[in-house]
Amino acid sequence: MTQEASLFIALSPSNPDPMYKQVTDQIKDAIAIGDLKPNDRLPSVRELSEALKVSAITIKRAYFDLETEGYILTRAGLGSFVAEVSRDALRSRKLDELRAEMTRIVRTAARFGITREDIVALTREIEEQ
Amino acid sequence: MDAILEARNVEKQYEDFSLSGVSLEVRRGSITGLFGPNGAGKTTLIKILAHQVPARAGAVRVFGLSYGDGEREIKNRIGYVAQDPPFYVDKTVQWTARFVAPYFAHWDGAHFYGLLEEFRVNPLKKVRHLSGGQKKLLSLALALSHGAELLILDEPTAGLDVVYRRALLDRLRTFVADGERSVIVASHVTDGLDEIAEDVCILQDGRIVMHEDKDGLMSKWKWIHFRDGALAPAVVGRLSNLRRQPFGDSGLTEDFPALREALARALSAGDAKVENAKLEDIMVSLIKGA
Amino acid sequence: MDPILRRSSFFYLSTLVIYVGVLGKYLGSDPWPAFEVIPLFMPVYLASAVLSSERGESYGFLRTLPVMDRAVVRRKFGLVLGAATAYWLFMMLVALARWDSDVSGPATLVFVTLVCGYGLVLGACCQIAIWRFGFSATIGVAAAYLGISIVVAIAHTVGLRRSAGWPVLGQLGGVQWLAGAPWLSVAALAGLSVLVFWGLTKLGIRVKASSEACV
Repeated sequence: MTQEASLFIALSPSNPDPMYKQVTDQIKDAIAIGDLKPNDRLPSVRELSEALKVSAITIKRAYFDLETEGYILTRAGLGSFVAEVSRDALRSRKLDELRAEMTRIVRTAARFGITREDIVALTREIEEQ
Repeated sequence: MDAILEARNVEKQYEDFSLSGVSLEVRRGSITGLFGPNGAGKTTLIKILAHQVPARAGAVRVFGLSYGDGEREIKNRIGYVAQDPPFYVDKTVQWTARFVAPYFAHWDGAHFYGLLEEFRVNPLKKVRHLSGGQKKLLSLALALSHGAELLILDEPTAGLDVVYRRALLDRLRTFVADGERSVIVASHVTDGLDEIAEDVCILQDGRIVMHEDKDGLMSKWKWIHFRDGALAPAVVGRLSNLRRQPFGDSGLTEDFPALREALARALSAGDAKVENAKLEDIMVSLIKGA
Repeated sequence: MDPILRRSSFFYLSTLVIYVGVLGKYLGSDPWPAFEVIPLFMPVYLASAVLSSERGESYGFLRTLPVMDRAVVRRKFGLVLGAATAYWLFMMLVALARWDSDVSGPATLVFVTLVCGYGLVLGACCQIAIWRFGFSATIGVAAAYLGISIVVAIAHTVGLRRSAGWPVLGQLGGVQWLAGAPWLSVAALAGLSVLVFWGLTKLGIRVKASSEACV
């Protein structure tokens, strides 16, 4: 049941998002791509705080938000564990994030006279790489 | 390149320290930052450039003139602020202004007193009663009030509070905005001067270990954060300051453009992230590496 | 007036005024051998003027201004020369004024010129020492030397009370011989002093330009 996660988190001071949000976002991503599976144990607050060189308060806040949103569960004395999150929930969250980026692309394309066909062709090209 | 100041092979010998073979140029219209750890020789070099201390060897040319026969003209056209500016300490600020006025060809008293007001330095106070920061501001006011085209500053923000520091940085930016005037400033990297410097010069143990324009520098030095195993060993081998952590590794590269292709796959897969290095990181890396 | 001169001349003027006021009056009155003793204090006063002027000097500050080292040296040496000349003129005029009262004579003129010439050179040397070694290093030696000079002058004064003949220093062989042709000797001694002084000026410029000791 419990297994140390193979996690990749890289915080960036130049990222406009606050640190705790960067942590929650990257943990959500890890869950979505399968680095963290349901019932995997998350690193302890102290472990993560030392490894990422941020204060424990920041990690605690991140874990608190993750729990509130249903991504993780905390069992007193045992630690935090990845919850059973539906793939659909993860998919729709990522889609929302992509919507923002996509909006930017679509609007930019419109301004530069790039057609939908051009974008679709580009997408195909990338997928085939 | 139009250089407002040129130094060639400057050397200086003290008992426990020496400057050797220091050469540099300050471009017209630019701010050159001279950085380095304590004891690297920044102050000594600055003093030599401003003709406060004689060099043992080497040549310094300012505005195309040498101090040998152009000292008066050069000193009329440069503004120098020392780390601990010397004054007649028992005299007032006003007395000091009256003292210097006849020596400068383009002394602007109105401008000087305007600056004093802005810097909140009381002209009637004796210099010995000014704080360290105020003395610096006084020295700066003098440097800016005689039509100088080149400012030579030694840690001008040390001892200044945040508001004045920001005002000073803005003022320096304005100073060079016409493209004709320049600034060379010795400083600790953490004092904010790296924000405004266009050219970066790093001094260590009396030698220049780097002299490049900041944009170029920043485009080459980057932190790569990567998932363990996501990068080929050959690529990892080219990173310095490697940090291996449970949740991701990091390394510093000094030639990002060369690695960009090798990193492309990992970057697009989300297994690697690139982050700008700070000037501090570059300095620490150079110093540790040496 | 040039600011550097303006600042320093205060010290030279004040010491001159004190000299004339406190000691100078003895030259004008009393039938005792004032000219034997009072001139001996001239080098002390002049050197003191140099030292007090240099005490508050800020060469670090001057170096930031468009003033060349040799201009600074010339101004300072100019003051020393001017002051020494003022002392000399004062004493010479009083000596001539008292020519007939038997207190002064040809030997006096020679003696005064000799001492003032010495004072001139001493002042210049003080100045150069300060540039070469810095003020704090020089002041100790200088103060000791001046202290000894004062003691010697006072001892000489006291000694005069005991001995019958005066002027003693005026009767030194060399002085007597020179007094044979007083004006010629005065001119020669003055010329020699100025020559040495001029040489010291050159030395001073060199020392100042290469020295880092003066702050």
